[in-house]
Amino acid sequence: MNILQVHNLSKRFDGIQAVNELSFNVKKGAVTALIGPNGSGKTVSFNVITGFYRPTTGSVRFNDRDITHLSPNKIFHLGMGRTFQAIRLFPQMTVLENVMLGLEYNSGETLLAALLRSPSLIQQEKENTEKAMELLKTVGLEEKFDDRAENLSHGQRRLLEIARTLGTDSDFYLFDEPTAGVFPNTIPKLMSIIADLKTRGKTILFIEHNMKVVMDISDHIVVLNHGSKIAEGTPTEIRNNPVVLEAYMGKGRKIAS
Amino acid sequence: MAYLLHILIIAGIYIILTLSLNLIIGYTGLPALGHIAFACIGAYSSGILALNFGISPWIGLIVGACAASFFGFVIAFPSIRLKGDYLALATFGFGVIVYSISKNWIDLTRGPMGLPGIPKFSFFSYELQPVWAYLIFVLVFIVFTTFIINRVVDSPFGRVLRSIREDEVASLSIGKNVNRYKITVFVIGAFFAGIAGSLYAHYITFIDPSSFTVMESIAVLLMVVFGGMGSIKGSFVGALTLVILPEMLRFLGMPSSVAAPLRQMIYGGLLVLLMLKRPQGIIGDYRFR
Amino acid sequence: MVVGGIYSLVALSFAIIYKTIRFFHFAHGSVIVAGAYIAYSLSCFVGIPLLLSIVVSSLITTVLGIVIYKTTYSYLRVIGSSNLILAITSFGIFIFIQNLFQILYGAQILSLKTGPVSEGHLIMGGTITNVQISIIVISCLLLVLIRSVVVETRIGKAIRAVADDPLGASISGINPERIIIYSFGIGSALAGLSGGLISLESSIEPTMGLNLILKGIIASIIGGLGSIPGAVLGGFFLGIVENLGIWKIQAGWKDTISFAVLIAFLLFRPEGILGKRTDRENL
Repeated sequence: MNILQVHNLSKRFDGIQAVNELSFNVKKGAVTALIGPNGSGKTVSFNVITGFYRPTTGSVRFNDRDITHLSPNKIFHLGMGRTFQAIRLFPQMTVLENVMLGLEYNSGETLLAALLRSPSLIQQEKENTEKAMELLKTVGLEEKFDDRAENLSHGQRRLLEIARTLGTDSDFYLFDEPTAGVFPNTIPKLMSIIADLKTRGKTILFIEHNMKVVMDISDHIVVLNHGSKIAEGTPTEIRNNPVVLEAYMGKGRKIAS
Repeated sequence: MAYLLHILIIAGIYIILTLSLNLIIGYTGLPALGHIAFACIGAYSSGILALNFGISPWIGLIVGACAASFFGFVIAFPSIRLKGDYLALATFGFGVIVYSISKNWIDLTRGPMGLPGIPKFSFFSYELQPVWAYLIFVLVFIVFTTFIINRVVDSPFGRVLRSIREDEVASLSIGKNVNRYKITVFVIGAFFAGIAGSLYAHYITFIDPSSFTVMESIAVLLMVVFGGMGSIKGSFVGALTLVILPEMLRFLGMPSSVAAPLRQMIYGGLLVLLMLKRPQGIIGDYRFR
Repeated sequence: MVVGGIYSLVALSFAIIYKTIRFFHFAHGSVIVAGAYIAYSLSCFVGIPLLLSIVVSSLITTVLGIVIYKTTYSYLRVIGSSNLILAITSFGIFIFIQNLFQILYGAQILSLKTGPVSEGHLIMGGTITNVQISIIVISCLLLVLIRSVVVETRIGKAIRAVADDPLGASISGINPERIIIYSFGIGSALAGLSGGLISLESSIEPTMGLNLILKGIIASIIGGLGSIPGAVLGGFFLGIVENLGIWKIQAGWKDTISFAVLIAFLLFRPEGILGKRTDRENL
């Protein structure tokens, strides 16, 4: 079944048509890649899907529910978690705090809970701290738990953002260029995280420029150019698609792995 | 000696104000100018109830604080969607409007003539007349305020506040209802400012609009910034320093026509220097960019 | 109407600076006050003819504005300070300069009014003096002048380029820093001019700056931030609304009316009358 249905989505900014009648579906449990040259509207699409931009026209359905005009935090609670192209962390908070903010707190994050400071809140805080440390171990950042996020290297920041997102235990993850700017030796770890999510039944949609990664782990690829979809299909189909090759002409060859 | 106690009481009232504003600006990162308006509402509510309806200052205090919170909600609800500078301008505008009302709605507030003869607090039949008694009274409220604010910030709730300060977009993306948090801190901040206003009214026993001008809001802002945004200890440092130090200027024997603007000139210069050199304030550890 | 003219002048001088620097330069209000006081000093203490005093004063305020920029904002922008920090700094500068003038000149009210407030021309049931006419005329003339500068001249185009896209502008060989200095210069010159003109019409006191700059900012927002004709339009609009308002209600509520109008615009039409709606979140 389709966990996400994007239908005729358009987004216009002050004279620039960033996304133009985009339609595609994401199958539940699959790893789908969204690729295309710079400026083709990928991140803008992400932002519309996750509720940060309002589309000019079109609709987005998640689990067969219309989410087009919902706010980002509501969409999150329906089961969508995302990362950002530019890595959005809480820079002057510690690594541990960054992850804990992604964990579920029931009603622990309310004012009432803060004022009462009941034993159950303290217990939940303790449990979440342990959970957060586990997540940090998964990405290899547990030593840095007390450092400020801003003091991490770029690659470590990327991993931290992923750790926080993993902690949200969403059903549908959207990763915006997860391998951008990280050292090549971190990439296998990221890929294994994505693969692991898939085995646990999660759905993934990700934007990527690293074609090797795209070809290796995607089940399905959607290609954009100038805000419109120009192709869609399996990695093999896309690799040989002349329209896609033309769009990327001059950008660098695709690796035939 | 009585003079020193008086200064400490004033400083104490400012500590409560600074703590309340720090929650909004320092911990959550909302540029709320015009904060003194909430103290104004608290003071006038309390004063008017006591003078016109003979209501006890204790009830007046609670009503004043609630009235201030109510208006905190009223101003926050539409405004928190506004982007930084615009929120600053809107809250500033609210401050001007409240000041204007206190000055022009003569039927309600007696305008520039002010409200004289506000009764003091009494415990049963013992009126809080001596200055040292009132100082202890204010200290109790300071402890109360500090306790509550500390509970608020040192909690998962407080952690979300700080996440809003750091990156609102990221906070939204992990499901935090940012608008609800922002409105809540406005209401809490307004509540304590209302208490401060009421404490002031029943101490000085006379209030008029001139105590609640734009400059007063700036003064509290300066105390927050100077002491350290996002630091409870910083609020103490900021309020104490900026109330006591100018009083020492008085002893330098300058004519008051020079002392007053000079004091503000120092405030202004200090604000600029802080922003240039140390935006996190004396004690704060959050570097406001 | 006259008030509208004054607000327009202030808004215009503010808008030019805002266009390139994109934050609320509150200190601009104190530059206006400086313009008034300096013009007063030149004409009363040094004996320079009135109009010349105003012109010289404008030159001095130009320098003042640029100095303010170079010593504070320039550094803060380089280290990437947020608009909040810049606004607080601006407030600090404003308070500093305003109180400096209060110390130097005392809190009494001064005036550059020439001759008795008497005769004016009867128009539409109200009198209007020559001075008032000239204020309105000058603001309109300045609007046209500045507009043509901005649209036609190289500097004007450079200012617009920097306003739209500083990075792109610098890539095309424009030095944004220099352009910002130009806009500060022009804006502050106009501020000095406004200060001088205003003091011809009403009194000079050290606290006038806050009210003026706030009205200037409100007018700019009403008209559309970043739009120069918008600022002038907003100024007249604000002036008219204010005076219409106090016609029905007491004069003391003037400020409330202005701020209520501001809040209404911020909530319902933040881009102002002439502005364009843009999606703000930059993700």
